Amino acid sequence: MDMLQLPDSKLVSMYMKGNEACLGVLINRHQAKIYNYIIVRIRDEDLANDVFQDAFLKIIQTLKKGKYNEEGKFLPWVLRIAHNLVIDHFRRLKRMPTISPTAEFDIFDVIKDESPSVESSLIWDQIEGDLKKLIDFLPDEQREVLKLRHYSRMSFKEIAEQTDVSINTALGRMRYALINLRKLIEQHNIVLTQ
Amino acid sequence: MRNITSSEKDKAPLRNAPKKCIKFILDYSKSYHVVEVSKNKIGLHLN
Repeated sequence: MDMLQLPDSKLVSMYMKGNEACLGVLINRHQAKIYNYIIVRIRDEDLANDVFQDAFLKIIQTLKKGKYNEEGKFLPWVLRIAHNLVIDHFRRLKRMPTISPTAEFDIFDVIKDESPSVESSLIWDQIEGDLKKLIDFLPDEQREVLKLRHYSRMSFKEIAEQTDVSINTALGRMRYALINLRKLIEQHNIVLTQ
Repeated sequence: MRNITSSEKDKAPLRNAPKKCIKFILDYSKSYHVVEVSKNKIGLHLN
């Protein structure tokens, strides 16, 4: 038996008796009309996909429970279900008004995402890498103070104790480390800003 | 032979529903079963 030749009513009745393949034939026969009916009204592909699926879930439930009784009018029945789901969608939309950006107002000017973007993280990693290379050019004592201060977040008192020098010496080494770093940056024409 | 009107010529072809949606529906149908309990028909989604 060629199922493709069977009328909708026959396919529906066979599906209701358990022939799953008949649903596939019905869907293939009518899917484009049903899908376009939905997408023309909703104009959003993802939502249209959801409504299309929801329509068929209702159809399956109704048919399998034996509640379908519109013989020979399968497509208009399906379109009516799709139509009701589209209406439900617009009702929900009305209950949850959305704010669209205009020339004068954009909600994202008020609500900002403070987390760094992937691009800015990459730039920051690059800057950090360049800085680490420059720090390696510093004399040992200056490099040590700078690393303890910036990477270990130690106070100058703690650095002085750790390196066995006075606080003034630690401060002086830090000062010269920064002066030398500036010189190195200028010499190498390095840009350390985003 | 009937003339084709300009509005018919301009009609965009129908878009097909995504295959993933159709597959989802067919899979759902296969796993959806109805049982009768005390004369009430209850739909069960069995995977």
